[in-house]
Amino acid sequence: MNPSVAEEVDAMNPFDDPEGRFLVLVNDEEQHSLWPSRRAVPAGWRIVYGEDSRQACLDYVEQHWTDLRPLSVR
Amino acid sequence: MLAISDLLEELRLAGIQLWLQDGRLRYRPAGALDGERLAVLRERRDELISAIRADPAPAARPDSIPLSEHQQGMWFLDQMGLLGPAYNQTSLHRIAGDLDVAALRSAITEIMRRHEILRTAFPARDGIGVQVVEPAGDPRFTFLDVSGLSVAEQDRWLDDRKRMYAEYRFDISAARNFCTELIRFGPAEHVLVFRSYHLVIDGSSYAHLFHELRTLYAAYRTGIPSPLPELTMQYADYALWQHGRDGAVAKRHLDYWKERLADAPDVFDLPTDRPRTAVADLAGGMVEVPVPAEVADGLRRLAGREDATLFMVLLAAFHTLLYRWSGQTDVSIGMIADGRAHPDVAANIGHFVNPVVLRADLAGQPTFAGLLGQLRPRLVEALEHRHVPFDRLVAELRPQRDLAVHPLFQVLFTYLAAEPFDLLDGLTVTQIEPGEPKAMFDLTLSVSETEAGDMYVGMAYRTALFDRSTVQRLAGYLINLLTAVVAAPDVSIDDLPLMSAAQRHEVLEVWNDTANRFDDGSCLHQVIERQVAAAPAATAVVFEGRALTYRELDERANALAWHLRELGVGPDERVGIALHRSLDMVVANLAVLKAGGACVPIDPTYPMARQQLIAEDAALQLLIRPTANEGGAGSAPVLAFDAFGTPATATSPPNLADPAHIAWVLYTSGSTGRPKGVAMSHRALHNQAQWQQRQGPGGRGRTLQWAALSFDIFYQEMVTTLSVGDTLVLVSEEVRHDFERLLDVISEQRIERIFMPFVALRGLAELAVRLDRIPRSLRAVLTAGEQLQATPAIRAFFEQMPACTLYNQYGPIEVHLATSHQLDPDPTTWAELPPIGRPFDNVRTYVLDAELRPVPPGVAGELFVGGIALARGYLGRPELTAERFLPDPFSTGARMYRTGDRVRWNAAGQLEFIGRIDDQVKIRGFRVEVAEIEAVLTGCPGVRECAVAAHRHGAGDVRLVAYVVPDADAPPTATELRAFLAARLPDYMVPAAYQTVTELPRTPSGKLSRRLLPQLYDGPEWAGAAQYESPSTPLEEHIAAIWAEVLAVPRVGRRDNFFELGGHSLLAVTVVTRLSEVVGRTVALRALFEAPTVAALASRLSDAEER
Repeated sequence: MNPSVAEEVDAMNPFDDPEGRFLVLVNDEEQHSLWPSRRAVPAGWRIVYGEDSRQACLDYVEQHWTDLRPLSVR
Repeated sequence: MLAISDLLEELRLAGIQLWLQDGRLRYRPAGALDGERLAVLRERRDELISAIRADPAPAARPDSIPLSEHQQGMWFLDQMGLLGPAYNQTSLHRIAGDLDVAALRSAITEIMRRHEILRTAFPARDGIGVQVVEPAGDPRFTFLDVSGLSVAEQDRWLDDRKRMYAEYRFDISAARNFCTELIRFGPAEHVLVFRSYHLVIDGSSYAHLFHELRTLYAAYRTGIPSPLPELTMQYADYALWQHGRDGAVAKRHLDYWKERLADAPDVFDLPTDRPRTAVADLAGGMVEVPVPAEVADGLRRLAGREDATLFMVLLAAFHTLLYRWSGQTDVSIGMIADGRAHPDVAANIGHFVNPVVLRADLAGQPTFAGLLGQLRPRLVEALEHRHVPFDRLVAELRPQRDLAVHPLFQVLFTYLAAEPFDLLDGLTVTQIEPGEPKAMFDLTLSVSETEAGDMYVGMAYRTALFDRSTVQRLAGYLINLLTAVVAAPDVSIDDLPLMSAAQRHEVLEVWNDTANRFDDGSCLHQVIERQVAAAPAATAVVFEGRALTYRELDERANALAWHLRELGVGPDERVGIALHRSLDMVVANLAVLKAGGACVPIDPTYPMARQQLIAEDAALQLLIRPTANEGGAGSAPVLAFDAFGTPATATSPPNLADPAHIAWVLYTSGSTGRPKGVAMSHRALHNQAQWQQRQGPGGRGRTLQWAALSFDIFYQEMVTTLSVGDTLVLVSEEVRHDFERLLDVISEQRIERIFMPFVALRGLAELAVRLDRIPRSLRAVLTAGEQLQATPAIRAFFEQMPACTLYNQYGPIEVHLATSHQLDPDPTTWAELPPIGRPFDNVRTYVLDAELRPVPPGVAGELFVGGIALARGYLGRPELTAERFLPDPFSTGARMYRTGDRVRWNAAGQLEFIGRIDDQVKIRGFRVEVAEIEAVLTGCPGVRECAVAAHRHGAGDVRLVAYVVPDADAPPTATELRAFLAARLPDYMVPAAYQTVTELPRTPSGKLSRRLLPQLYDGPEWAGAAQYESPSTPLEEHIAAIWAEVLAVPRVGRRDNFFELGGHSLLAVTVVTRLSEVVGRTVALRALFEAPTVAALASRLSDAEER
């Protein structure tokens, strides 16, 4: 058996937590972002989806953010 | 019903002494027993009498008096030569006034008479330490007179003397472990010095010493005999009593600790400024800060309200600080308890300390009050169970031993309600600091209160690990934390601020105050077109003897741009450019921008499958190739450059692009194997170029184009050069990797500026220094993409080019570049790992913890980058974009990019790169950055390049492997490499195996690829396996087979050393367990440590058999 290269050991980034609860936020340029639901929503962003599981939020983003251009250059 | 030993212990702890007199059970002090206890005593009188008979009060001394349990561990460490003067105890007191020297001397003489321990020697008998008490009489009192010296000379003399005290080595086998000096500075000024070794005195004993001195001095001055009562138990008797005790009590205490400390991490891995040395360096420093009076009062009130002591509140705050500073939730802190286990030694001078461990679980975001609630019973229990000798605890729990760390705990908390020695009859006495302290622990927090109620926080630290400024900051964080706790004890400890509002403002706003106006109305090609208009005849690009002027470049690009426009290229449309380095390649890039499109460089040396993957993912409008017969990639139509020819057109097509449109899409490896395209706007690049121009020599100049074409640095080279009218010099792929020819080009072309990642820069510097061909035309070297190491060759290179500036820059492709650090002109001042500097204009950088809160300077966190440098996102990958480009909580409506890199702010507001979050490994509990090991290994003679990777061997066993590219003339052996590292790094950072490779695997952009490092069993050389001898007896074969399996090495020879093969004490336990099964009897762990080779161990085991 070949040894495998060791994996990450430190505390998991909350954005990578598959068990975490998330929101989908949108800013005025209609850029979408994932956001942990237990943190306060930052100024200039509004909730468009969630809270829900990480995967459900990512699915939402994939379906609804079809044009990655900022609103001002669309 | 209590065991009889427990009952005796309980009574002792309650201060009740039991003894037999004429066969009858007696107790004292009189009246100390309540009715209930008296009843128990009567009921169990016979049991008690026989227990006491078996545990007699020591009347007659045996020939050999053992060390006390408190002393044994320290005695062994001293015998092993590990302590040296570290445990010297020196206390100096300045005495002002008319001192009665004779009375003082008599008082000292009497104290020495009263306390046998002060005249006890600790020689070894049969390898074991014993106590030998010398007769009383000699007060070991020295009188020195320096009153003839000037004040300045006296000061110097005292400083020298203090140094002597600190460096003096007590010979503990002689009874001179406590002595007194009285130094006369003048008629009314003396300094009294107590010099002793920790084996005979401890911190709490000083109060007894001072009390007796005060009492006796006052008595002897007036001719009164000593009013002090005789001691009822001498230290030697106490030691005898300890050794005669029933083991059941000790076992009960031990069981408590075994349960309490089960599965505790072996080490509390503090973030240090420097890596640990192989053996702990005890040089210490001390920082002291006052606790504001209102905070101190608040803490006392909080303690009262929460039914806790001030000590507990401070201890909980220290746990919180360490957790928040390190991110570790399982925090053990040591505390020195008074281990006097018998009431009769309550007033004795001696060594009675027993460290105890206070372990707290800080996970789950408890409130501070909740944490207090958790710690309160722990502290009570710890004190109840404090009577276990610490070295016995260590032996039982068997934590990972490493000479670089203290076992079981590495930070200590002490609370001193100091009893000052400030008065002798009619005299004023003030304490003098004994000089630079020794730091027995990584960090020691001491809180002291004066009689007036002022509270101070002291932090003693190891100077080998920490800078003073770091500890000063840490002390400040503790004060901030205490202030916040007083205000809101019901807030989660995760949300308590470490930084003050001003410090938070500094890291978030002041260090990010980068807003700078720039011309953001232009696209990149428009900026270049301005240079065409300004100096059309200037040389824009040079390649292999051919050149294009700005006008030629512009007119050829115009012609192609019109054509592209006809083919449908417009804003945000992607055009693939699969051209080798050539003038055409620069023309093509500029043409795509002029057409309004985005460049997608596709390295033509990539495998065709990879090229197709990129072409498809980017949904190319068009792919530009040198000729038509190289074929397409995916469905995009191909534009063959040779067929298009070199037409020229004076005017550019009308601009359709906005600075927010994308200028390039660069592909990087995705974790899923599918590459992802980073889409970068004109504006981000333009901002970068303008900032770069303001950076002195780094901003412009005749530039060598070295970066890989699919690397973002290529665009930096092109845009920063052409936007100011300078010349870009291209070299072929072949020359690019041949540093000797590269040096030719640099000197022939009088190159002023180069961008190079660290590894390439090091290669170039080594060659230039070796051949003495320093490229003196260079004025700026910009390095990015990899952690810069200031290797000897790089320092020498820049020392010989005083007019050349080195810039260390940082930025993942998603933000292009984010920070820059201009190194000092003097390379001798450079740090081994120079910082990556500050954010550049219109960029913000945040160092955040896992909850996205800013961490203070000195604390490692993840780097987030915000501002104008951000890419638009990953082309066609909204879900990937949404999880990496996040809302910036510190700037309304803006985004920030999560880099995955660990960094920290230094005190000067510069960022220091630590490593990839994913590259961090834990070796036996220690957090290890492999880059740190690589930096040291690079300094080993015969090592040209190296990389270190961690490999997992089954569950929980991670080991390091070093990959070394040796110098051809003097390749070092694995044993040499290991010895070199072992002399410089702690054991856990020394790789177990060393593999020689001819070159390190690189990504196309020149970065080290750890993923592509060869697998371990391609024939690594195991240190120690240099002279292989096969096992020669069945026992040796058994041992070798067990080691090979446990260590996961291919073969073990009879001369191989277990520890050099990567064995450590956890694995040693496994080995002796298995070996015990094979030989059918218990093999001591010690045997393996003392006979660490196969042959030696086999011979030792068979010798034992014969005996």
